[in-house]
Amino acid sequence: MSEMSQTGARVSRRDIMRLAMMGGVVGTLAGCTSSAEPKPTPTTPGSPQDPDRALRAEVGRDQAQLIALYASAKVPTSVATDIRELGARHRVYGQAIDQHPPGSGSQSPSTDPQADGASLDANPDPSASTTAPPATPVLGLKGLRRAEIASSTKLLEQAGRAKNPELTRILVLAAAGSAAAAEALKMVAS
Amino acid sequence: MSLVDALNVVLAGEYAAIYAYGIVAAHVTGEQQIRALSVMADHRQQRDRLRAQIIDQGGTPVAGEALYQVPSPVTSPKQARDLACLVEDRLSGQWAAVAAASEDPAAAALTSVQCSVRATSWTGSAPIWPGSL
Repeated sequence: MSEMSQTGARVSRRDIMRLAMMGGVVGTLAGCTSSAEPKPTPTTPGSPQDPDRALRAEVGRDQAQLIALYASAKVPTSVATDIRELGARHRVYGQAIDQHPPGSGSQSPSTDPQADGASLDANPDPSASTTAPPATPVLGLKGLRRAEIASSTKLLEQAGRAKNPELTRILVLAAAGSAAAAEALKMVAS
Repeated sequence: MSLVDALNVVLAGEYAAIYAYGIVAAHVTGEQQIRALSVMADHRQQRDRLRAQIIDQGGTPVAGEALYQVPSPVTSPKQARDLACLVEDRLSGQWAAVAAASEDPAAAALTSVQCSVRATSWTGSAPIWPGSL
């Protein structure tokens, strides 16, 4: 059995590749399926032909907001590292649904939440740099937990809107990861 | 992956979970033991629902194994909790695949989330991608 960390592992290219490998395992099993199955038309994620383009951008913005919430959160010093690692998963989720191929984005977490937001936005607005960013509320552990629960709920709703089955799978896994983070935050707080 | 294939993968996972929770329940005590037995009953119900769903879809449910090999020996409550976490985490990933193969992914997606939360509740571990342990 794999060794398990308390609240998650460091976010790295490995985390992105792990998702791709999980898809690979599923793909191997799918090799047994009928060739008569309808196959989705291949499109480049984020391209104008991508029917999930707007959804990917929406999820990217949501994940960027969560990264900003974690960056501004006031949490006990004793658990700050664990909390930071929980928050870093939202960068991984954002990259996984973004139009960029996994691993092509920034791999080292930035401490600037606004920079994170820009990197996660699938359709950045050129004028955004001159616009004041919305104020980010300062949350504690309970607030972060509420934000993770809300994120999980929204990701489930977004998964229901995805046209691409692989995007559906990624969004469901991200929803499950957010819910797990909420549970971990509850355990840290207790 | 077809829906029936995805359902059969998760059905195999449910068989394994039922087996695993028998081991877990034997190595934890008190409230954790009660919980392990309760979760095992939930997985039995899920197994039965899945078998019915696969038959409804025109498929053939896979059979459970007589014996499962656990990844590492379980001789302590901590190892038992780790095993419970592992089977729930794997189920979370398998249910996500069912959601991806479904026309209406809501129920499978919610089950994936529930498994992930249950996995974390056993050990405190919250993997970034459920199904990756």
